[in-house]
Amino acid sequence: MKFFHSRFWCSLFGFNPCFNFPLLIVCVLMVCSEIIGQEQWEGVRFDHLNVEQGLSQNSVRCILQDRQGFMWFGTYDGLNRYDGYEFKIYRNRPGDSLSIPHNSITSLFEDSSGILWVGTVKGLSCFDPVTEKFYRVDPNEVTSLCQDEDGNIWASRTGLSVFLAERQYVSQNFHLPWNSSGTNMEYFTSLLFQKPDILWLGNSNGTLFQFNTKQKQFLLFRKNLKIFSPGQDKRISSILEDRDGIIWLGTRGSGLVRYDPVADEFTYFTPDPQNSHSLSSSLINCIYEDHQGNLWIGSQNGLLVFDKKKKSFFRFKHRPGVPGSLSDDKILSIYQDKFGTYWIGTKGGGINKFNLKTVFFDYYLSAEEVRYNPSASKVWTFYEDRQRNLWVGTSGGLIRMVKKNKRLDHADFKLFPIRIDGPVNRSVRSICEDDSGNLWLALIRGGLAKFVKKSGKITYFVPDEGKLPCLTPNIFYVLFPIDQSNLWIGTNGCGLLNFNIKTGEFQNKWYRNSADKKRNGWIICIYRDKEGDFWLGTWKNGLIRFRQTKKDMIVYRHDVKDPFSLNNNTVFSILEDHRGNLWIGTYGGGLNKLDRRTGKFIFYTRKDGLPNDVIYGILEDDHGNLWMSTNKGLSCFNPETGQFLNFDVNDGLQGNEFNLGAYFKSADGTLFFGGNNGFNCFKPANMINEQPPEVVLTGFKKFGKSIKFDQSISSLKKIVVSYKDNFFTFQFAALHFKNPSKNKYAYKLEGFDKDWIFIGKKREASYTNLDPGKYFFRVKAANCDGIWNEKGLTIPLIIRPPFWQTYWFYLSVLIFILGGLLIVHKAHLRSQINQALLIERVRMNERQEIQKKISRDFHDELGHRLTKITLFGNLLSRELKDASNQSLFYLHKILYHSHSLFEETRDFIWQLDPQKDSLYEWVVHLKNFSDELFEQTEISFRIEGAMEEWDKIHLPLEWRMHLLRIFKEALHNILKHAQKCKNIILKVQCRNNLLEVILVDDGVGFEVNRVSNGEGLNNMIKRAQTIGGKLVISSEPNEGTKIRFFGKLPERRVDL
Amino acid sequence: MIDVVVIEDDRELLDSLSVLLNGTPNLHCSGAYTSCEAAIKNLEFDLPDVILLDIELPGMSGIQGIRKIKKILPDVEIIMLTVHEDNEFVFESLRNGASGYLVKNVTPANLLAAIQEVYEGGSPMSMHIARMVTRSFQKNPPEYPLTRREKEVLKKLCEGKSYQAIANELFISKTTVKFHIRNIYKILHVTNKGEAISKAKDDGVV
Repeated sequence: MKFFHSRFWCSLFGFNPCFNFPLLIVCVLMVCSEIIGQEQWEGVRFDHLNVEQGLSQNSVRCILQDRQGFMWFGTYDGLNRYDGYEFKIYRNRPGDSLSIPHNSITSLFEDSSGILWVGTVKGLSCFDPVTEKFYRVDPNEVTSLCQDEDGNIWASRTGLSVFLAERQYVSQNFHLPWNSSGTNMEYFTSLLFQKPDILWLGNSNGTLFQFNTKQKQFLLFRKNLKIFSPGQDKRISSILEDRDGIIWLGTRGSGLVRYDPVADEFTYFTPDPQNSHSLSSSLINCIYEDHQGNLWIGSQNGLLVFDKKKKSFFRFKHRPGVPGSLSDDKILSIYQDKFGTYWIGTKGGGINKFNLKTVFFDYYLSAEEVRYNPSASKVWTFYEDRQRNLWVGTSGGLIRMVKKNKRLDHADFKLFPIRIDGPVNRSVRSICEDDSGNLWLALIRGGLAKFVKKSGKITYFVPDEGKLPCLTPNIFYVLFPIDQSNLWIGTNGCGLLNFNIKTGEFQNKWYRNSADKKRNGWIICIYRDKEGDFWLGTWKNGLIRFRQTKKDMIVYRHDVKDPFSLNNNTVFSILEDHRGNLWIGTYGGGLNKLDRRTGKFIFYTRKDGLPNDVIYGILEDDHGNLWMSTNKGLSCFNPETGQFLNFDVNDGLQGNEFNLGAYFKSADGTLFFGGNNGFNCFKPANMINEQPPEVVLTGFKKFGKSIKFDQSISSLKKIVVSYKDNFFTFQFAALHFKNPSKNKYAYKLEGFDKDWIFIGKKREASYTNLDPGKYFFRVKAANCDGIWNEKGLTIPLIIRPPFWQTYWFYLSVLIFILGGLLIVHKAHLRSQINQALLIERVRMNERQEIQKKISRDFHDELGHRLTKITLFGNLLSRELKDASNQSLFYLHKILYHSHSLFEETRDFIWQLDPQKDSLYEWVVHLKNFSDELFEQTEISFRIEGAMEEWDKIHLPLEWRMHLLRIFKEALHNILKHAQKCKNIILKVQCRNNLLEVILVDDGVGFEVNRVSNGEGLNNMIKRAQTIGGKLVISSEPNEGTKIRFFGKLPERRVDL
Repeated sequence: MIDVVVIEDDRELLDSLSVLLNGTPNLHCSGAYTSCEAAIKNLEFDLPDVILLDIELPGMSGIQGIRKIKKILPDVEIIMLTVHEDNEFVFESLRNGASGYLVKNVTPANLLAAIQEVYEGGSPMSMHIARMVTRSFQKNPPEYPLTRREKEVLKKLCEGKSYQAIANELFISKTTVKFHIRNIYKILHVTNKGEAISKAKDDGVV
C-alpha cells in the first residue's frame, strides 16, 4: 500500500492547501538560525504579498525598512509603505510638486537623519516621514543611492552626483574623463561606498570604476568583465562588500563575480547546468548579505543562497501549484528586516516573505492520507531504530517509515497490521528494540509482541494465567529496556513487570494493592534520569522514584496541606531537562517541576499560559525549550522566561487533542507528537523571536471618519480634539512582520481606564463622551511569539473644554466679577464722599448766602434810612436858610455823623462780604472812597499796578480791614493837609505773596517826626504791625508824602 | 426846566425827593410813583426828561421798567437809584438802556448835579462799570465796534482814571470824554437790543 503524505505549513493567512491534489507533499523542516547546512533552507515557506493584499504593483525593485519599523516597497508603479496589515501607496500627483516625481521607483535609501531618499526614473526626491511630503531634489534618473561617512548622498546615473549634507543637499556632478562624458560608459547602474573614501561604480557595459570621494577622481578599475552569456545587457547590476571585505558584483551576463581586494583576484561564478548547486542564471539582479552573513543572490531564474565554505548555491524556485514556494523566479530585490524576516521582491510576482524563526509542523498520517486504513491515523508511539528508520505505533498497526535522502517527506510507508487473532487490530502503545534488532511492541490487550524487521514476522507473548497477581495482565502500556535481557513493562492493573527476553518470562516488579482490583498499579510511563534513578508515573498513585531495589522507593503524592507537593496524582509524562530539573506532566494538574535538592514541586497551569492542564507528553528541544502535547494543541515552554507559546490545529497540527504516550525525540533532534489524526514532527529553531515590536499610530477617526493631519499620523506628538468630538477612535499597528496577524495588542487611556485592556488582534480603540482634560493614550503590543513591548506607544490626548469650562473663562469671569465689585464699591464710596461734600458745600453756601443776605439787608435798610435822614436834613437846611448859624452847624453835624455812620457800616458790610475778598475789590473800594472824598477837589487819583492779577489775590479779613483803615486815614490826611496836592498815585504790587501798597502824593509834605497828628500815624503803623506787615512813612517838606506798606500774605487755605 | 419823574417804592423817600426836586430851581417833579406800572401809565402825560428809577421795586422790576419806558419814550434819560453801586442789576440796567446810576445816600447836591449832567448828555462810568462793559464786549462783540478813541477811553476808565485825567492824557476835553462814554453806552444798548427784544418778548413787554 502506498501512502501519500500531505504537506502542511504554518501559514500566516491560514489558508489551507487544497486537498484536491492527492500528490501534495507535505514537507516540514525546521531551520536553525546558524548556517549548518542546506537543510535549513529546505523548510522555508514563503508568504506572498501582492496586488490582492493592497500592493500597488507586482514588480518590486527595492525594499527598505525605516527607522520606525515600516516596510517600504518601491515598485514600477508607486511607492508603498506597509505596517503589517495595510499598504499605504504614494503615487505621483500631476500638479502637486510635493508628491513623488514619478511612480517607477529605482532605489530607496534612508539616511542617518531619517529622511527617505527615493530615486525614480524621473528624478530624485526626499521624503520626510513627518510631513509626508516629497521634496524634489533633482529631475534626472537615479539608478542607485548610498551615503558616505560625512552624510553626503551619492547617486549613480548618467554620471555621478553627490548631494552635500552640509549645504542643504546642493548637488555636484562628476563625469568620466577620457572623453567619455555623456556616453554609455558613464551610465552607472550600481554603486557602493567603501570606507573611508572609495565609491565603486559599475556601468551598463560591464566596466567597474572607482571614485575617490575626497579627491573627486575616477579610476578605471576593470574594463569589461568577462561575458559568458550573450546579450546586449552587460550591466553590473549590484555591488556589495561583505563582512569579510570581499567585493561581490552581480552582473547581467557574467553571473556573480567575487573580487578579493587583498589578493586582487577576480573569481567568476556562472551557471553550470550539470550542477544543481551552481548559480541558476548568469543574469543577476541583486545581491544581499543577511544578518547572519549569508549571501543572497537574486537572479532572473530564482533566488539563491551562497554557501561560502562549500562554494555552492541553494536555489529557491517557483514551483507552480505549490503554495509556499517562490511566487516568481525573476528576483529584483532582497532585504532582511531587523526582526529577521526576509523580503524578496520579484518581477510580476509581488513580494515573498519568510522568517526562519517560524515553526513549520510537518504532518503525517492524516485521516485523508490513510483513508484506506483509518485507524492508522491514531498514533500512540514512535520509535527510531538504529538504521534511523521511523516506526510508528498506531491503532491500525505498526507503520514503518524509511527516509529517502534522509528526508522524511520522501519516506516510504509500510503498515504492518497487528492482529493476534481475528480481524481486530491491536493498538501498539510502545515500541523498543533489542540487541538483535528486533522490535518489541506493547499492546493493549495483547501483551507483548516481537517483531522481526526483515521478515515482518510477529510473535506474541502473554504472561501465564494466574502467575501474576492481577486480573488483566495483558494491558501493556509502556516498555523500557533495562539491559540486554530484561525489559520492563508498565501495565494497567499489574503494576510494573519485568520480562526476560531470553526466557520469555514475566515477573512482577512492583504493584500496589488496592481495593479496586482493576486499578492495581497502572504504570503509565517509565523514565530513567541521568543518575540512573527510575521514575514511574502512575494513575492516581503519584510519582514514584525507584531504584533497582525496592527499598529505595519514594512516592510523591499530592498533599493538600503541602503547597509544594505534586499537585496531581496522575502522572502522564516525565522528563529530565539538560539542567537536571525534573518535569512532570499530569492529568489536569498541568506541568510540575521537581527540585531534586529540596524535594519541592512548583507547577504551571493554564493560569500561567498553558493551553490545557492535561500534559500528555513532554520533550526538550535542542534549545532548551520544553514542548508539551495537550488536549488543546502543543505548547512550547521556555523554562528561563516562564513563557508559553501555544500552537493549535490552526497552526498545522493534526488536531488539538494528542494522545497519551505519543511523543518522541529522534536522534537528530526532531520532535514527534501524535494524536488521533496522524502525527506532527518538527525540528524547532530557537524560534521565539525575542524582539518586541515597535508600536505606531496608524490612524485617528472622529465619528468614524478618518482625520488627516498636517504630519504623518505616526509622527504626531499629541492629538487635540474639542469637547464636541466626543466619539473618536485610535488605530495602531505593531511593526513586526514575522506573523503580523498574531501580533497582540493592549491599550489604556491614562486618566480614564484603570487597567490595560487586552484586545488580542484588534487594532482599534474607541472612546466616547470623555470629560475635557489631558489624557495619555498608551498602546503596547506583543509579537507573534508573545514578546511584549511593554513601553509601547504613548501619545497625549487633549480634549479641549468648551470655553465655558476653561480656566481662562473662569478666571476672566472671576476678574470681571471682582472688577465689577470693585467699581461698584468705588462708585459707592465716591458718591458718598461727593454727597458729603455736596452737603457741606450747600451748607456753606447757605451760610454764606444767609450771611450776605443779612448784611445786605441791614446795609440796605441802613442806607435807606440814612438817605432819608440826609434828604430831610437837606430839606431842613433849605427851610432853615434864615436860621442861625448855630442851628445850621448842628444840622450839619447831624448829617455829617449820619453820613460817617453809613460809611462805616458800608465798610463793615463790605469787609464781611466773602465775595469781596480779593485785592481788586479792596482797591475798588478804596478808589470809590477816594473819588468821593476828592470829588470837590482838583486832585486826580490814579492807580498803578497789574490790575488783572488782583482778582486772584485773596486778602484775609483782617488785612482788608486794617489796610482800608490805614489808607483811608492817609487819604484823609492828604485831604486835610495837602495843599498844592494835585496828584495821588496808588501803587499796588503783589509778588510771591508779598503785598506792597504805596500811596504817593505830591502835596506839601511834612516832617515825619514832628507831626500834629502823631497819634494817627502811629495807629497806622500799629495796624500794619498787627497784620504782620510794615508801614513806612516818608515825607520831606515840599516833596510830597509816600506811605508804603508791605507784608507777606498768609497762605491761603483751600476752601471747599 | 427839566421834568423828572421819580419811581421809588418808599413813600417817605419818594415824597422827600419830590419836595427836593420841586424846591430846586430848574427842576420839576412831574410825577412820583411807587411802581413802574403806575409810572408807565402816566408816562405820556408826564413826559419826563429824566426818570429816577429805583432798581428794587415790587412787581415789575426796574430793569423791565427800563425797557417798557424806553419803548414809550426812547429818548428819556433814566437814572437808576441803588443802594449798592456794584449791584449786578446796575450793569444790567445800564445795558438795558439806563443812562446812569446813583447810590441812594448821595448828597442832595450830588443828586441834583447828576440829574443835570444826565440831562446834558453825560453818563457816569466808574472803573467797576467800565470793566464790566469791557468784559461784556469781549463776550458779545458789539455790532458797531468801538472807535479807537472810545476804546482808549474805556481802557483808561478801567484803569480807574478820572474823566479829567483821561481828558488830559488824550488831549481832549472832559466833555468829549463824557461824549465818548455816552457812545459806549449807546453801543452797549444796541448790542443788547437783540437780547433786549428777545427778553422783552419773554417778559411779555412787546
